[in-house]
Amino acid sequence: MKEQSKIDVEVQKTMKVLDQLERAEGNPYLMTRLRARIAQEETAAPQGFRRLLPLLQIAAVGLLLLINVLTFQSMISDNTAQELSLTEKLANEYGWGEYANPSSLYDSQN
Amino acid sequence: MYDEEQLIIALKEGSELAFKTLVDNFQEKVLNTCLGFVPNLHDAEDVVQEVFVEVYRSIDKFRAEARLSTWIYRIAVSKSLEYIRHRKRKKRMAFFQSLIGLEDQRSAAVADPVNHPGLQIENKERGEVIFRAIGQLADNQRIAFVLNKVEGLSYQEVAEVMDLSLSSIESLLHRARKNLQKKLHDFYKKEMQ
Repeated sequence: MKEQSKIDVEVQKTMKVLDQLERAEGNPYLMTRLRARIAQEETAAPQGFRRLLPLLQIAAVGLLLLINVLTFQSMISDNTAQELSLTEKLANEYGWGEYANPSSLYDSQN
Repeated sequence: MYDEEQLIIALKEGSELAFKTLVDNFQEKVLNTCLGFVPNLHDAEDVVQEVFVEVYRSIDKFRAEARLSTWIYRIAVSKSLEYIRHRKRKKRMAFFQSLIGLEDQRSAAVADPVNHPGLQIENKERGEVIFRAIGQLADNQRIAFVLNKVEGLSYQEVAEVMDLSLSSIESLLHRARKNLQKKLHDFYKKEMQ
């Protein structure tokens, strides 16, 4: 009981500290610091460029994706062309020249 | 000098004098608000700089739907909370680094020192206790409490800054006070054991 009231007194005293809190004064050099900071940021990246930056980033990612897709497509078409020429070679070697194209084989069977 | 409307127009036109006027008018308010969240002069001054740089950068977006002071208080609150989150992330990182021996364990565990210039010498110790307890409140309770109790805004002004109703602010402040008393109670109980 005695401890409880002692704790309550401490709590009240600590809560009251905020009523006695004095206001802090601003830093007289703040404006100078702000000027330097803003000037530094503007030299590092001009405002217009900074606004465009997200768009440029998206465009760069898009471009990379496009290059990847095109490279992949050209790899696939190269492989198909190589496979076709191999088929033709085999067909010629075994005298199936006229059947080298699968559609002609289908036509001849019909 | 400028009235609020003229000040906003001049700021949007990029007037240096207008920006200086704004900094002069609001520096103390912003600093005391930031100190409520980050009760260390050095750190709070860093946050104050962030606040005014943000004001400078985004004044074009200010539509004057709220008062200029309300808008600046909102930026001060959000920059302070952002700073606290950043510090917490850094500490967590330091803790993990200490586990693998990259960082000293003591530096990872050390709490930010409380160094509020408005605390009287005889109140330093209690001030540290109360500011640590404020730091443990839920964000919305902490914002309402700091704006009202530390910065001295009225309930109506706090409601405008937080974009909440007056009754919500009353309820938040009531809960904040109750929670603070409980936290202090637990602290002193532990101290006396």
